[in-house]
Amino acid sequence: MSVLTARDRETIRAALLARLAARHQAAGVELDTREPGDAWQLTAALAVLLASLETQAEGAVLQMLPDRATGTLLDAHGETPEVPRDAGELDPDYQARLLDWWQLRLLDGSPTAWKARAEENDFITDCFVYPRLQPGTTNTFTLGCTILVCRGPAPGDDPAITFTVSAPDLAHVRAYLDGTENAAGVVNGPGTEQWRPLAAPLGNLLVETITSTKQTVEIQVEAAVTHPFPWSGSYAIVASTDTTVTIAGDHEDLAGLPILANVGETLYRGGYYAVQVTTAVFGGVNTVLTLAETLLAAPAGTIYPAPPFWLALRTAIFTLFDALTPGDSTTPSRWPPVTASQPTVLRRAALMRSALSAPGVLRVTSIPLPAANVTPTTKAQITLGTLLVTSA
Amino acid sequence: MAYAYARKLDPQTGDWTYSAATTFAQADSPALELVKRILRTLRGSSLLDPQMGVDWQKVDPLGTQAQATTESVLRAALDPLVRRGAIADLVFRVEVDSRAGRVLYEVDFTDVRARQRRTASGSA
Repeated sequence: MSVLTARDRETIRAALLARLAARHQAAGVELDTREPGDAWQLTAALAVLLASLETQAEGAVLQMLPDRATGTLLDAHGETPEVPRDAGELDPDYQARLLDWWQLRLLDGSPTAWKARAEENDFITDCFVYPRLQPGTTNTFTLGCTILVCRGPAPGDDPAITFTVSAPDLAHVRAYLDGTENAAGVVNGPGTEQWRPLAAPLGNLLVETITSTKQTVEIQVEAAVTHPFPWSGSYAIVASTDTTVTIAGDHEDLAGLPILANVGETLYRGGYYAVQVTTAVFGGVNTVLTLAETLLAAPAGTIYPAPPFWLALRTAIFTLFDALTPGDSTTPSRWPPVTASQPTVLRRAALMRSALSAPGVLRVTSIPLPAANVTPTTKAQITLGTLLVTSA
Repeated sequence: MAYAYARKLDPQTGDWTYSAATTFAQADSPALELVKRILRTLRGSSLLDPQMGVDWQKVDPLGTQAQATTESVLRAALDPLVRRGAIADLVFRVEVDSRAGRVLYEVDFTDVRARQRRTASGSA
């Protein structure tokens, strides 16, 4: 396809005649456009000239493009990049060689180009581009600088997975962009190219992992009568092991009921784990609750009633957090930009919507934490700390 | 007022005629202008359309068939206009001036859009 396609004389004549007729029409007059009237002949004569000019222009434009020029005009394209035609080389081969040269040097360093190139790499899931942001923590705009903030996979229900990309994986991304490794991380492997534009010095590009800001979430809900909380209140843990929890006072009525016990968010996403109490034995001062499962760690803090919708609500909150993206610069510059589908701010309204999506939640009575919408700092992402749901 | 705008040709010289306001004069019958243009063109002389015009090469004013041949070449020249529906009901009158070696002709036709009879005349 050419950037300019010459029209034949009939097409040009028809276009000119139509334009002339329209101008007369606008003045309230119908123009006689029949052949061989004066308007027809005037436009037909002009069309002959214009058709020749367009054909000539089409050829000239083709010769301006290295992938379309031919003969000696193609040879001229090789002078500036100093890529001369090899002896006996045919036009198509020479065109391809010139294109290769230009493709290597015409990398534009645009945010879309950076993002697409970085995401070709096998070591990250996605990346966000901050064009003009100076490498470092100052978040200063400097022309010619770019920061790529890379993310790994979303955690889902696995606390071992975070959005964070390891330093070795980041090094692979960097090596790929600098042209020492291919996308699979093989040094000088097939497909290794220098993807950094020549105008971007090494130090102007920073590839870094996402930083996260943990946010504790506590939601108070009213359960539907079909999905009631199994018991009410909460009790501070006096002592615990990974199979027992000791609380003050006589609470033998907890036997057979589920509790939420905090085993730590590094072991279990959100921290609180729902577990069944098998026996509750009051010893005169404290009650020892024996748990149906061996927990990942001895719980600490306070136990709460585990509602029937705990797992569904947890999943909904995880989905909400996993859709969050890193914060934009003060003057928006991030690519892709912040949109409803790529949000950065943790909104209380969104938490409420997620909680209500769990079957059995009648209404959200309050959200003690966070007390307000949480906006991340530049390049940082809000991630889930402790997640707790209590009865209103 | 004609149904469409067309510039008026001087039937004697073939030049544009001008109105008092120094603009091109408007033709009363656009179809007549088409006819005039064809009748004034020698077939083969228009580079845009070599088939346009009257094939006067076929007419020998001194020959016995001058009258019939003249009518024939005139009809052939105007046939495209008839086929396109611009004019209809052609009536030819041809006089042969053997002494001067020329033919005089008159064509009556209907301007189809205007629904009027018009006449074009000339000599060759």
